[in-house]
Amino acid sequence: MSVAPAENDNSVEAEMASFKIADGYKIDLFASETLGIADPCAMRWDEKGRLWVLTIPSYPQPLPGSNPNDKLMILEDKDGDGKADHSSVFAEGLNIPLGFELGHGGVYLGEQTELVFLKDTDNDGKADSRRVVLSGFGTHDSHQTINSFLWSPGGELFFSQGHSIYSRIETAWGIKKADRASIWRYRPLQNRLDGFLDGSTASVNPWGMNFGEWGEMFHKANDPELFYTVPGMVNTTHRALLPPIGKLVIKGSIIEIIRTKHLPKDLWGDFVIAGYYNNKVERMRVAEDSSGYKATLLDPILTSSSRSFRPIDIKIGPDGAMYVLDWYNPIIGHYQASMRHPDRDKTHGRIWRITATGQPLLTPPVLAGQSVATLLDHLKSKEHWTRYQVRRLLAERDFEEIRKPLTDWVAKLSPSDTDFEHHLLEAIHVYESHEIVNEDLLKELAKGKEPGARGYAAHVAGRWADRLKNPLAILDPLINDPVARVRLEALVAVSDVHRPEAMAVATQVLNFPTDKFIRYALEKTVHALQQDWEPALRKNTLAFKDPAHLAYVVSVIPPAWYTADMYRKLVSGNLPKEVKRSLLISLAKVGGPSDIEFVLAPENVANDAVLLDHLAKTEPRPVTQVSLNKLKNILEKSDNNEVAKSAVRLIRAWKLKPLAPAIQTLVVNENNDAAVRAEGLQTLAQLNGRAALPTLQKLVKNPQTPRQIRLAGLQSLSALDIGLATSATLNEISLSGGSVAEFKEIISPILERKGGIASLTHALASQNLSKEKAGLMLEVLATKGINASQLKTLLNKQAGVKNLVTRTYDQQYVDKLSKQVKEAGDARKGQAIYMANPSCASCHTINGKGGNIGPNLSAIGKGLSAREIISEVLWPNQNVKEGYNRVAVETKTGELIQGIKIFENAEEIQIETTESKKPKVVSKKIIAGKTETGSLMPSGLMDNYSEEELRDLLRYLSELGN
Amino acid sequence: MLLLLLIGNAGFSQKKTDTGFFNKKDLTGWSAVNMQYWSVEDGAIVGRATEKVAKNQFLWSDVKVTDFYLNVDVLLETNDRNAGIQFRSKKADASGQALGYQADMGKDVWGRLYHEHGREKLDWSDRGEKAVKPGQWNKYEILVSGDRIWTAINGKLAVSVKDPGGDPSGYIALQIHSGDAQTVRYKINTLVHNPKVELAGLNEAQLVKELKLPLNKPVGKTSSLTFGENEVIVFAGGTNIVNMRKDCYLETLLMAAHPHTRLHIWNLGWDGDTAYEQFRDVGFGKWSKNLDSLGADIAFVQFGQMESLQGEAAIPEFINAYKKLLSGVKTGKRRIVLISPVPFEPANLNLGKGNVPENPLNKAAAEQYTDAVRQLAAQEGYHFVDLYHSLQKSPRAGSLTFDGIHLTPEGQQLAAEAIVQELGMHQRFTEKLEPLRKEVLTKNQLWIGYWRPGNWAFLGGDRTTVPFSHDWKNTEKRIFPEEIKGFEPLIREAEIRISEQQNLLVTQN
Repeated sequence: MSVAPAENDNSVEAEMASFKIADGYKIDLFASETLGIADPCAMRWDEKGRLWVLTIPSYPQPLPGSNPNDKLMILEDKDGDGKADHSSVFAEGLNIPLGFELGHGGVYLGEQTELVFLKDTDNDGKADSRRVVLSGFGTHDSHQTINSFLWSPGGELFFSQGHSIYSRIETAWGIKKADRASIWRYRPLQNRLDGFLDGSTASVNPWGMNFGEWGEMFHKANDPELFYTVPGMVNTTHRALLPPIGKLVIKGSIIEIIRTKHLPKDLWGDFVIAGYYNNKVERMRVAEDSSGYKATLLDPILTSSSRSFRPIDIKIGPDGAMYVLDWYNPIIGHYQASMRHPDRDKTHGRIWRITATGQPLLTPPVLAGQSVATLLDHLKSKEHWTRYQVRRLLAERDFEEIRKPLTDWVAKLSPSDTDFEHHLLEAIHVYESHEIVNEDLLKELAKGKEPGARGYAAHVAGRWADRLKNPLAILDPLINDPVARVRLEALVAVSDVHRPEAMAVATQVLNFPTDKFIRYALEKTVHALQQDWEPALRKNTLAFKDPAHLAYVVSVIPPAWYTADMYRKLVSGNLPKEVKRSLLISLAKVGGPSDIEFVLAPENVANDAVLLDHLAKTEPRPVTQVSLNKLKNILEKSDNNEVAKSAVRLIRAWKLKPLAPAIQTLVVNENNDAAVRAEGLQTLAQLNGRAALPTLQKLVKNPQTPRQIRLAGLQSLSALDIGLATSATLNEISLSGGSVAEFKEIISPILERKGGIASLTHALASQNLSKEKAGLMLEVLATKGINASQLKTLLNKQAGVKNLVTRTYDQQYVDKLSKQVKEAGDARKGQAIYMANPSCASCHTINGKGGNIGPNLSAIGKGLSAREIISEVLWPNQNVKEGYNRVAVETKTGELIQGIKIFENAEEIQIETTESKKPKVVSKKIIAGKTETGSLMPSGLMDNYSEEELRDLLRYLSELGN
Repeated sequence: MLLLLLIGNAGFSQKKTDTGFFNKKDLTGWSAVNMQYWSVEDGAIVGRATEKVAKNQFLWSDVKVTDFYLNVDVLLETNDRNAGIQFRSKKADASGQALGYQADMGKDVWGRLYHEHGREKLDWSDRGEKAVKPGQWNKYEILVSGDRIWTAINGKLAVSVKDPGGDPSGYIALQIHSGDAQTVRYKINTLVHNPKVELAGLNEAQLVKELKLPLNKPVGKTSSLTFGENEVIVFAGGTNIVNMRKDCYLETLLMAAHPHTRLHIWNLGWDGDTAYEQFRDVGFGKWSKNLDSLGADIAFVQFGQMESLQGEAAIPEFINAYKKLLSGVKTGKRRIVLISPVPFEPANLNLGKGNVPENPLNKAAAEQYTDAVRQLAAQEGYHFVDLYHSLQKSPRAGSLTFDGIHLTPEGQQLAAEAIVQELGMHQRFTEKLEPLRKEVLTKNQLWIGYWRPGNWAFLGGDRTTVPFSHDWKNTEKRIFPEEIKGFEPLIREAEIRISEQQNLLVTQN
């Protein structure tokens, strides 16, 4: 939601006046559209202090027959007054390129399906040669094609793609595939491309990466989240969601890590982020957190009241000032506005320069045309700008020219220098960027005092694994490093060593405390090395240092050939609970009756409800009388109610009919825990079918029965007999005085059954519900996101809603209403309406409060005009936000599940529902039907609100974020 | 396989003498583009040229032959002229040129088996020549059964060839060779379909013993590919096909080789397409559906290069996938040309200096995949172009790719020339074709904007309901599909400019 009305005054002065800058900073204009940079989308500095700017006026879609004329421009400040005064065109006639980076004497540019290399071979300042480096990147959405190019310190070109992009690139290492959002790493000298974190597993739209002083990689999502990328740099097609390390309130892209003497000391090391959505330059502080990092949001550096101020790139310049690229556009939403919306600005574009007041600007060193030795000395600079430029310049020289000066430079470094190890790091970057292996230097870094040095050494050992004689010898001590961050880097590096014993080296991280980053990387490593360890394990040629390590590996990927005996042997060791549980589950899957007896032994299950729940998810296994007795024992004797409940669920899932009498006893015994009895009642219904109806009805009808059991009864009745369930539901409604939450529990079972809504509607027609109860039921429908028009009409009638207005889409109505919102809307009253309506907050968050299933509304007013908000609220199906499409699944047993799909693969769908915080994992095996249309937000939510109430609510929403 | 054998044996064909082949009175059942050369005299067909003939002339019979025995007495005046009997042949073009086997006659070619407009020399033994009585009547017998061909002159065995994958059936035609004035008389004695296998006093077993393979083996069935007016040709494959859209050599050469024929060529290449997977976005339509919706008459398909990185062991899997993919687009009318992979050039994959990792291209089995594709083409009756060996033989081999995999523009040009040559068109790229290539390029740029525009998700994919593709005021109205239709007249105009360039080629000649 990012379609704002155009500003009345688009002048530089007006925009300047819109800024509110943090104390100690000053903002000035560096360049504007007058230099030909309208529609700028990315910028990079060169070593001469010239700023290269990519402009894309043909975005979002060129017209047929038109020749798109997007350009790569070069800006210069020739007179050194801090304002660009000259511009030239390096390349033109481009077709919506979204990013570029300078290197190897030319420019790498992402344009549609291609990564191209442009070069000026005759030195006239214009590109005259074009070579396709890689092709096959997806173009299904022109605002998500390959973007945000950046060199890693070791000379790898990183870039990313967004959520609707599917890429297939032919390389010597096979076809590289990335479906949906992904991060790409390209090693130019080897023409080698690798993709990471596809499937949108680390943000839906990654946009902007950066590297810390010791090469630690981070990336920013276009969404609020910030990621520490390193755990995800394991090369495998196995997908898992990478946990973020912090987030903004709302969207923002790009990371610039402040490393310049010009800006205030307090800012050093902070991450500055382009808050294009809410017109801010955001600031985050990143601190170590075990093997990774965590980030906290600080006050912004810059805020603008102009909705057209759209910072989309930030770079520290050669003078130490912070340069902010301003796309200047009221509309940033790609899909949220018409491709030909006249407010899509094609004529403006600015670059702002933020300086520290009272701090002298820096004079950049002369880098162009310098000798290798001089350039190498600049690698000692504290200024990151300088080192970034120098690395790039050294990477494009012939290595023969570099070899000797580099060797000499390293030899002359003084170990007593406090930055000695960092200088070694810079030296190894030069070798890396030339794909030259320097094992001695690597080994020296690996023995560094500085954890960053050791961590980076691990990284390089992984990169050079295919050229080092024994990379594992270097990595083994590092994976046993006292510093968690080093262990993580070593683990990720080991995942690149394709030898069986690499798995045994990797699992040594288990000898230390683990955290979310290490666990993430280790699981992926087991997948990445599967081709290496699994055959060796089978041939019995792979030895782990600890049986627990093998147990871990087998718990992540149970080999198809593993036998019950093997699991029995493994599981006998002293293992972490999760590992043991996973092995027991695998054992249960392959084992025979005696193995099931083993799994169900009290020492395994007595305190592990989760194990029982997992067993319940496996196919029913052979169960002996011994096993039945063990389960019966739990039912009768366990004082752990969670375990008892899970045992009851297992009996239900495996359909253990012989235990039905025991369950019956458990259910009717009033001394038992109500929750266990409730669970038991459902199992009883499942095992005995309609034969359980008398027990069910008796319990459900009796007001003395604990409510939890009555509700479970409703659930079971709904599955067995919709008619009986309907009358029991009506009975329960009559008993309940109630709240929305209570009513939700009562009517959910019947609503979530095939035919349930119709039956309930039919039965309610002849009932006289109180106004209050009808009103509560309407709320339930709204919070559950159910569109049941007949039922709603009926309930509205019974609730006595008189002024029911069904608003159909009409442009004139929207115009009129938006005028009213502006002129007469009362935000305070609107807020009261919002707060009084639980259905809004059940899905949407405002300033940290509310549900997460719908889009965050904290800054909705910042990017969206009143007229757009009107459409969102009244006709939610018109414009469904990316990733918020409603999915409705019907299972083979008639259960209906609806919500937002957050993950899908060949086996399962994960659906986030309004009911629970954790996504519901639905196996594809049990799905009978699936529809994916529209929004989960029901239409007609505002039907019983007056025009005035609606006007005030909209006013409230449109002021959010200001 | 078993099923196929059973079907093959089920219909035992009956031996049958064809009484309608030639009535010995007139040319009923025979036709030629230039009938003035042909007549019937004394129960024999006479081909007579009273002055120099510019082009070979053929008189075509209406009778289609598969397995047959033909007995003809021939008189060639004078013996230094050249004639021949085409069999299992078809017309190569509108001028009635022949494509297929020819039992040759004339000094130094008597009793040889030639493959007209195709593989040329198949059996060049001089056995027949030795049996000939120059300037007199000679008995010529032709016996064809399955892939076995024998001829005899005056009762002496001449040709004896086993030609697997050769032309399975076709027509008989009589020839006057281009050149000086001549007269040739063909006195047809008998034509027998499904004959008993015996000739020149030899029984079947003895004849089989004489068989040898032809000098030039069939390469798929390249020989019979022709292009008709307004036919639709599509190219499909991975990045090397995609790049043809940008370099345009193959299209240009096909257009230049058929200056009188309007052809519509659409490049459906998609980076990373393999026989296993052809990824397309929601709503785009599958690979096969694209071919159908464009009404492709001829499809040039190239798979196997990237697949060959998986090594020889994966060939059966590859062929299965390829076969299945093609069976989805196989129609009675559609001609399919399988283009072999191009050779990898491992040295062009720059792996840095010094201590370099193993080059993955060294392990690739592109040549074996080429052979597998050739066999697939032969089995399924597809045309085949061996680009692998053509490029490998090129003096520029080793410098035809920029990354070891994908052809440079120069490589594209050589590949295009090799493809048309293998298909029997001898068209090379010259500067003269540059204006045509420019127009093809313009058309292709329009084509890609139309067929695979950016923002597909909003045009026809899963995001058509959001405002992007709609009018900003009237949000019900979708403007993107309308806008894209704007390409259609532009493409048509570009095609007209292409045919204008084709015409210019003719007038320049």
